[in-house]
Amino acid sequence: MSGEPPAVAMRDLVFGWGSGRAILDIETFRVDRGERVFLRGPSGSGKSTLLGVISGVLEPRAGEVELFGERLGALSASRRDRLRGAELGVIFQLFNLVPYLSVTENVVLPCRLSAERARRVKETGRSLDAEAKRLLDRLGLGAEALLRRRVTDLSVGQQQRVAAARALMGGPSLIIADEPTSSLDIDARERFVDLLKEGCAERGSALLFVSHDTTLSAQFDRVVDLAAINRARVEEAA
Amino acid sequence: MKIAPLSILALRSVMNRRWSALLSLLAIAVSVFLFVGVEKVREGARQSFERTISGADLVVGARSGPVNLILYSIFRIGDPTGSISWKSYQEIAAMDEVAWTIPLSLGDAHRGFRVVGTENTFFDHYQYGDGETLRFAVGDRFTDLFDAVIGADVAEALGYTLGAEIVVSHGLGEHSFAHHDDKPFRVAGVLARTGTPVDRSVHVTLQGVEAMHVGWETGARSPLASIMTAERLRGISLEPDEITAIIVGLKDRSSALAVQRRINTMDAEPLLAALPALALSQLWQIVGVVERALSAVSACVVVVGLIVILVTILNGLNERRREMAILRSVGAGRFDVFALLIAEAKLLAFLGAIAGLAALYAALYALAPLVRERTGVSIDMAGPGWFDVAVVVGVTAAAALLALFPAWRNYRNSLADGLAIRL
Repeated sequence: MSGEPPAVAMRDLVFGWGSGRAILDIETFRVDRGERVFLRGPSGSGKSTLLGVISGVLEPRAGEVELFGERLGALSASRRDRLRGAELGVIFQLFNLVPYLSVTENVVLPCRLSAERARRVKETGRSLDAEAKRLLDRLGLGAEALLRRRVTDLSVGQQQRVAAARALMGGPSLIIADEPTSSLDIDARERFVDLLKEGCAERGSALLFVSHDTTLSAQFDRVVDLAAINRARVEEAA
Repeated sequence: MKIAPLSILALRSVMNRRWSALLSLLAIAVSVFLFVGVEKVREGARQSFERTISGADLVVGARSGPVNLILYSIFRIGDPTGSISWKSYQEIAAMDEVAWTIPLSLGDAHRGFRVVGTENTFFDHYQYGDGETLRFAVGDRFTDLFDAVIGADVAEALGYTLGAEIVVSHGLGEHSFAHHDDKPFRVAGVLARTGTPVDRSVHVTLQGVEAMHVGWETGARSPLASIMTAERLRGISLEPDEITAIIVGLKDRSSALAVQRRINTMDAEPLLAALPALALSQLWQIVGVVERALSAVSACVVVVGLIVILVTILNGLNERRREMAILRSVGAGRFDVFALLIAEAKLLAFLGAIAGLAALYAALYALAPLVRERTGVSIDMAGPGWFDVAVVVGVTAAAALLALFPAWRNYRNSLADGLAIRL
C-alpha cells in the first residue's frame, strides 16, 4: 500500500445513544485505500450504527475516527457533510432511491450536492448524464426504456444496481454497502458483488461491504467479524 | 451549488405528493382569494363612491342625516325622506354666493332604472372623477318637455337608442303596476360611460315629471290624467311644486360653511345642506367597522390556510424519514434537510398565493359587469398593485416561519436516524 493515509482508521471508539450503555466499543478498525473489506455481523449487532459513525453522521462518545487522514471529531458538522458528499458512496439494504426522481436523476444526485464529485466527472470530459448512463450501462441497466421508468416500478435487483451506480458516481474514495444483497436471490448476489467490485476497481475506491451472509466473503481482500472487534457486544454476550 | 439543487428537490418532492400538496395549496389560494378580494371590493367601492361626485360644494335636501341625503340623492341608494318646495329652491338658487344649481326630482323608475327629473344645468355642471364633465355618446340634452337622456348602462341593458320610447313607472319598485304609459318620454341623448350611478339613471325634464303626474295627485290615475294629453300639456306652464334634492355649486368654495348654515336655518321649511366630502367620510366611519371585521375574518382564513400547510408537512414527516436518510447519505447536510422543508412550505404558500390572486382577478373581471349592474359599484377599477405583492411575500414568509417547527422536527429525526433507514 502507498504511504497515503488509510480510507478509514478508528481508535478506541465508543458510541452509545444519549447516556445509555455503549453499543460500539472498538479498539481499532481500519480500511486501506482501495481495499475491499467484508464486515460480518448479525443483524442488530450495531453495523448500521458503525456506518453512521464512519460517515460522520453520528458522533462517537469517545475515540477517534479518521477518514482519509481527516479526523472527523476535529471537523465541523458541515465539513463532515461535505467530506461525506465528496468521498463516500452509500448503498443501503433497500429503498435506496429518492422516489420522486428519475433513474438518471437519482444517479446524478451526489454530483448535485457535492461540487467536488461533479468536478471529478467533468475531468473525464463526460457530462453528468453521460457518466450516469455509462455507469448504469456497466451495471446492465442501459436500456433507454428503463431509464424513463419510475424508480418505484423497478425490480429490487434493478433498484440496487441503480443505487450502486449512484454510489460510484463521481468517483468517491470509499463505497459503503450495508447489506445491499440481502433482498436479492443467490445468483443476483454474486453478480451484484462482481459489478460493485469492478466499479470500485475503476477508480481505486475502497469498499466496505457489510453483511451477515458469509457466502460472499470469499470475494473480498479481508473479512472482519464485528462481534470480534466490538467489545461492547462481547461483554454483553458474556 | 447548494441552494438551487435543494429547491429543485423541494419542488420534485412536492410534486411527488401532489394531492396533499394541491389541497394545502388550495387552502392558501382560497384564503388569499378571500383576503385580497375583501380588500379589492372595499377599495373598489370607495374609489367608485369617491369618484361619483366632484366639484359640488353642497347637497341640499329635506332635513334628515347628511349620509342619508348623499346616499339617496347622489348614489341613488335608498328612498328620499322628504322634499324641498320649489319656492325654497328658487330662494337658494338666487343666493349671491351660489354659482349654479342642479335640481333633482326622484321617485319614479323605468324597468328597474331610476328616473331623475332635472334640468339642462345637470349636463353643464355635474362633475365626477377628477372633475370630468358629462359627455354625450349620441344625441343631445333636453329640448322638449318629454325628452329623456339615458345613462350608458341603461342604453346597453335595454338596447335603447335615440328616439326610443320610455314609459315611466310610478314609484321606485322594479315591478311597479302603475305606469305612466299615456305620456311616454323619447330618448334624446345617451351619455358616455362615467362609472357612476349616472350610467344607471334615466334623466328627464322636471316639467316632464310634473306633466306625467298631472291627474296622479292622489298616487293613482284619475280621469284628469287622460284629459290632459301630452299635446295639451306642452302648451301650459308646468312649474313643479317640489323637488327632492339640489346640488349646489358656489362661486367661492370658502363660503360653503356660511351658505350651509343659512340653508340649515331657513325658516320656510326644515332643510339640510351637506358637504359631500364630509358626508362621505362619515359614511366611511360607519362602513369602516364592518370593513375591519371582514378584513379580520379573512386574515384569520389566511392563518387557517397556513396551518393546513403546516399540518400537511408535519403529517408527511414520518414517512419521509427514509428520504431524508438517503439525502443525508449522498451529502446533504443536517441543515439541508431543515432547509428542504422550509423551501417546501415557501413553495406551497407562494404558488397558493399566486393561484389565489389569479383566481381573484379572473373572478373580478368576470363578475365586475354584474356587480356594477346590481350595485353601481365598479370593482374592476383596482388592478394588481403593491398590496398584492405584499400579500404574496407576507404569506410566503409566514409559511417559512411556521415551517420552522416541522423543519426542526425533521432535523432532530434526521440526527437521530443517522443513515439508518427505518423501514
